[in-house]
Parts: sequence; structure tokens; C-alpha cells
Amino acid sequence: MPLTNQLRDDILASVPNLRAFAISLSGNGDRADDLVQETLLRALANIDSFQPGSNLPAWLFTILRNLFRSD
Amino acid sequence: MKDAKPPTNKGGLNAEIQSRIGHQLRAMYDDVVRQGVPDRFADLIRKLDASEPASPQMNNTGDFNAKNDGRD
Repeated sequence: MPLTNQLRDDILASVPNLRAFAISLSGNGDRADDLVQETLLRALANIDSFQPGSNLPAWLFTILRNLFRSD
Repeated sequence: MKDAKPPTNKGGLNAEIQSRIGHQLRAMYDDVVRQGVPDRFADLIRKLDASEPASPQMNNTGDFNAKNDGRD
């Protein structure tokens, strides 16, 4: 779906949880915030593939985990 | 750190250690979540939003109800 204001706000609202998840994965605050930033970039670049009504945090967490694994 | 180690199950962490890790993880989560959204990320989203090329079906004037108010 296109990036609506609502969707953008929902993505931002997920940031605190994404950071905590990233820290638990990487064990490093700076690295964690870089991961979150990459996640946001990738999410916005692929926002068209997000299915409206599906679980946004879960989608974002998956992106973050995949980025973590690929590094 | 001393060498004395608490007893562990073979191939696993004992309940006390698991519980301690759980508490620490939860405390870390709470702490980070309480920090809210750092400006770094709010700014990033705002910038990306602003630089987002207009989608094909929408013009890029930023004026959804473009009615040409008194300007010719």
C-alpha cells in the first residue's frame, strides 16, 4: 500500500520496540540504532509490498532480523 | 568474578540464570521503550517523506484541493 500519514505514524510508533529488539539482537546500542535506521529505509522503500491490515510491527521486526542476519 | 559457578543443567541454563536474564531483558526493553522515538528517526522519516517522489496518480503540488485560488 502507499505510504499514508497513518502508516508513517504507525511506523514511527514502532521505533521504540524496534530499538529494544535490535539491542537484544546486537547487544550494542549504536549498532542497534543503525539496524533500526536500515530497517526504516528498507521498509519505506518496500512499502508497496506491505499488505494493509497485516501486522506492521511483525513486518518491521522481520525486516530488522533479516538485516541483522545478513550483516 | 570468582570461579564459583552455580550448578547448571547439562546443555542448558538453570532456572535462576534464565530468570535473571529474563528480568534484565525486560528491564532493558522497558528502559529503551521509555526513551520514545529519538529525533534521529523522526527526522529520517520526515526527510524521506519529503523527498518521496510523487506517486504517478497524484500531482506533486502538495495541494490536494488545487483550485487555483485567484491566480491566473
